[in-house]
Amino acid sequence: MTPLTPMDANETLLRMENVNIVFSSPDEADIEAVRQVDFTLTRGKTLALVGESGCGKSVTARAILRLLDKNARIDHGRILFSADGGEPTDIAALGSDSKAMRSIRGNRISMIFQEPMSSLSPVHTIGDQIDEMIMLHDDVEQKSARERTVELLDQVGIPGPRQRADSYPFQLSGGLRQRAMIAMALACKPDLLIADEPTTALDVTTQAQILDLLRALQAEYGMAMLFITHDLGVVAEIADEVAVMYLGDVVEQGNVFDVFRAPQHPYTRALMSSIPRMTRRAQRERLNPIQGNVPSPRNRPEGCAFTTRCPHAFAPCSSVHPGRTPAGEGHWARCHLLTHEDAPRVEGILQPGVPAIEGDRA
Amino acid sequence: MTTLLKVEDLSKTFTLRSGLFGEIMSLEALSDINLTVKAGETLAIVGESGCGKTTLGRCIVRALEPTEGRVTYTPEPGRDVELSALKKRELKPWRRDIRMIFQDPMSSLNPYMRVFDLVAEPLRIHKAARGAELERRVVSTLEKVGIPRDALQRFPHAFSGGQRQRIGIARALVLDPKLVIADEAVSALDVSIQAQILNLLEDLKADFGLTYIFISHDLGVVNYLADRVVVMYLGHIVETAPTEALFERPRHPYTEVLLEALPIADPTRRSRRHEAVKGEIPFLGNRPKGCPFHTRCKFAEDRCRTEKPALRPINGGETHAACHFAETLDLKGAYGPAPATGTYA
Amino acid sequence: MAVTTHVPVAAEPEASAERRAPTGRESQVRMTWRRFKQHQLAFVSLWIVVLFYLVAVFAEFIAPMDASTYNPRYTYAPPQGIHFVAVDPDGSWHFGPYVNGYKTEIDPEALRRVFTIDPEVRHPLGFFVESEPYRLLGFIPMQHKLFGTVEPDAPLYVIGADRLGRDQLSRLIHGTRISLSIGLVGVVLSLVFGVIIGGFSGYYGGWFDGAVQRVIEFIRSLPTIPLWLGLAAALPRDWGPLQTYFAITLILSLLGWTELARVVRGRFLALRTEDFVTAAQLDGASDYRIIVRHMVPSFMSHIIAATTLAIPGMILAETALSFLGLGLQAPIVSWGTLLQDAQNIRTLAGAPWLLSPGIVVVVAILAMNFLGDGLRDAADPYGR
Repeated sequence: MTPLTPMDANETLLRMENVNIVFSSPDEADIEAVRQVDFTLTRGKTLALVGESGCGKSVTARAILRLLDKNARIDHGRILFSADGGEPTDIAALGSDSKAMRSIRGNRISMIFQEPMSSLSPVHTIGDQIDEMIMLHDDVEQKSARERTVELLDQVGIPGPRQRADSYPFQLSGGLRQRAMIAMALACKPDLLIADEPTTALDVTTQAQILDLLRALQAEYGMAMLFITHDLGVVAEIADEVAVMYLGDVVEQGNVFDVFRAPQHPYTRALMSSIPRMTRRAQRERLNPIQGNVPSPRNRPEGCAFTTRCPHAFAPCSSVHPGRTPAGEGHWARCHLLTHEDAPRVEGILQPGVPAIEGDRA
Repeated sequence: MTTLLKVEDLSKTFTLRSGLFGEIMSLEALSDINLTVKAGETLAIVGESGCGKTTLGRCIVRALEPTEGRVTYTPEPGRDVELSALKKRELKPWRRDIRMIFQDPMSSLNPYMRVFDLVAEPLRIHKAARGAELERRVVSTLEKVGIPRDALQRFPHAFSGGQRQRIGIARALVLDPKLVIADEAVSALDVSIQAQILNLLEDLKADFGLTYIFISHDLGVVNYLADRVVVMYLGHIVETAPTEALFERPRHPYTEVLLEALPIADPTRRSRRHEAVKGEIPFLGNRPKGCPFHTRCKFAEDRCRTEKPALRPINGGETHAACHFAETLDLKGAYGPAPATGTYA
Repeated sequence: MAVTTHVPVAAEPEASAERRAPTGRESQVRMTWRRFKQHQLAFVSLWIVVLFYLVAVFAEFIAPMDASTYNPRYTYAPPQGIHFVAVDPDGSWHFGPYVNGYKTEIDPEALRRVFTIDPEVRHPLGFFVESEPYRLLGFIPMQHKLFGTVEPDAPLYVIGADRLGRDQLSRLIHGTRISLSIGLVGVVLSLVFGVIIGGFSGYYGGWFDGAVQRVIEFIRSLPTIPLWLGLAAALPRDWGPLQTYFAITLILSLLGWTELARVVRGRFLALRTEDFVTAAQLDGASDYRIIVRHMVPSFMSHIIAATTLAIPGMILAETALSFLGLGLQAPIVSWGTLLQDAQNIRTLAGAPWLLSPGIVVVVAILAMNFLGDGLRDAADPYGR
């Protein structure tokens, strides 16, 4: 199969290929939390992984760092990581605690979390923690490490960085803490930054600051970013590409402008019509939410996972898992509506036998 | 429209004491709040964490005791009840009229009670119904919020977040209230579930003839739901205006900052923001002198650092703002370019 | 009123109906019970504890003899053991429980009576044998015992006899009643103090809470044994057994309530800020209703667990006091007073069965601790 996402071999940093992640428990059948995930991360670009709680977006991100819980494993698939343009390493094949994996983790790939308190040590100053990170990776003395730390703290917009380096995490506000964690993540100039809902716990003005900061840092460091969020507004602000997840499937993926302008999967469309638009009274439309609740992964419907809640479901949906269907350059969706001649007609979805709307096919 | 609830000069000060003989520190969570709620409207109270919006909601229902000020409720024209002056026992009948929906549907339902009893509890407390009548009212309220009859005997833990919030709403509505205070009622829910609940709240408002005080940090939701908006910052009201006027042309720099910071789900509007606001929300304990926002305001002048601006009507209209320069500042709203036929002047 | 029909959300699509429906209707009590049953050690302990209390309640009926019936002929008689199959010299077999009789010899050197079991003499045992008339629990007139020798005067010392030729087993059974009930009564008293004081402290807070906490800290900082000794020594010598009994329970619970008060206060403090309690306040519920209907069910299970864990402490305290001779006094039979007989090492060498109350204490305490642990784990929904 030719890759659906066009890529320049030199710029591609990480490629997920057909990754399945399975959770097992002693008394119940295995659960496929994530299935057939493919995506590519490119230097200098941001891929946003968006979905509601329990869709598998965090699990996918943790799989890249091999930080999965003990009862979870990558069942099959490859995670190809090529940091220096050489032969790619398959992260999925490495031991999660192997030397190779440890040198990738923190050195090449860093991660920031929703709650910085959980990843910062409460008993050390943030300066000491970042110093240690730098010394671990660069083999420099404490003094020059501290210089770099101060530089980093300044870069992430912490006022008075030299004094703040001596603060403990609990002495900082939520926004500053998140900045400190970003500084720590950047300490060894990673190629890839994974951000797991980094702004969810913050106030809107702080969130805007952090998003601005991440964008600026990405431009400076040229790193790829995998941004996990449930907020379509944040996606629109920060992403170059977006992958929409539902119950462990990536149901639609593509350039952020294409996906927001002409979403092709009914779930993406439903998500978009679930958020209130910033419009005047006159253009106000009643929200059109998805019926019902997300089923638990152990009761995932056969075929397309979204069948039970999809307003357009028809014959094959409940039995056949739809494949990836292109809907434009680098834009695809997993939906039978896009491929079946006898599918019900839905306005705005590119269907066989329906003339494309002008400008929709790139 | 008639006034349903009036808050006058409301202040709330928390005192903290560190240790047994420690210093007493007082935090003024609300200072001199004045607002009116008109019958039938949805009034949104917005602001970031620590702005006092939740405290204000709780002071209105007397879950917290206000330090100063009056809350007056007008159940019918010509009859004013000063809620803040009533004793706990005297307050009870009014608790039927003013109800609250909580943010966290997990913790606001007693885990040891079945759905039926949860919803019947307010009726039992107020002796509003019994026997078959009680059952009928509970079942019909639950049906209206979309909880099926066969769920009556279940416990809250058997429901998803969205369904629990529906049960919470049924508890608020079963007493046929007039005013419902929804404190971040949809914030904890997933996007698609949030939309279900927003639609439900909208329908119920029409069905029951309700008035809402909708406390939220999410301006997108507020724009969708509210008729009027109150913007709070560090315990002060900085601006209050009809929704469309506020989003079209904010009058207080903080409102503009909030609107700018709001992520909008449209990548083509990404560039509307020049730069996020500087700095952080100050700690309540050392609130700046003068205008509380001056430390972060890009328009701040010397006057702002010394003189606290009062909340005053702007251009004689409905909009009130607490900014010395509210008339002259040219602030950006959140809407896109105005449609051809401009509706707003 | 206009009614919009909202599409009812399917009962629980989040998990399949069959999977969730039964648990959805399951009350917290039943969930706790289900989790408790998975805790095997605790479940076994529950039966042991139940057995102990049954013995305590029906002590007069179960014990083959009265606690004070003595027979100087059988001083320090060794355990007979119960036999079920007898083989006659002629090779014929007899089935049915019996005990052997004793042969008495005088040890010529020590000039002491020495008992040996006489396999020739058999005293058959029976269920519901007739006995002297007695009153079960002090008011039900009875004439039968659970088991005993069919011949009324035959000796029955299954686990041996004590210094006065009293049946150790019967004394142990009677002692079980006193020791277990002293634990229970003591804990009930502590519970009353603890729940009231801790409840007020936690619900209203403020200066009262501060004062109560300081008092609790003070009481808990006192070394317990000397304090008990002091209090017990202060009891008038001329008090009857019943008065002493209640005085001792009171002493124990005066110190025991602090622990329970802390548990109750902690739960109240945690619950007071819960949204559902605020919700009940906003419903207009009275303090009484909030406490009884909303707060108590939420910590009932914790209280039960804490109570269960407090009982063994009481029992041990009573045993210790009585063993030291400062608790209950001679005519009253408790595990502690029984162990007093085992204080003398020489007696113990000759009659090791006098240590049997110690074994019983260990089994009872362990079972109650396991039971309390199991209850606590089961009551905590986030435990596992």
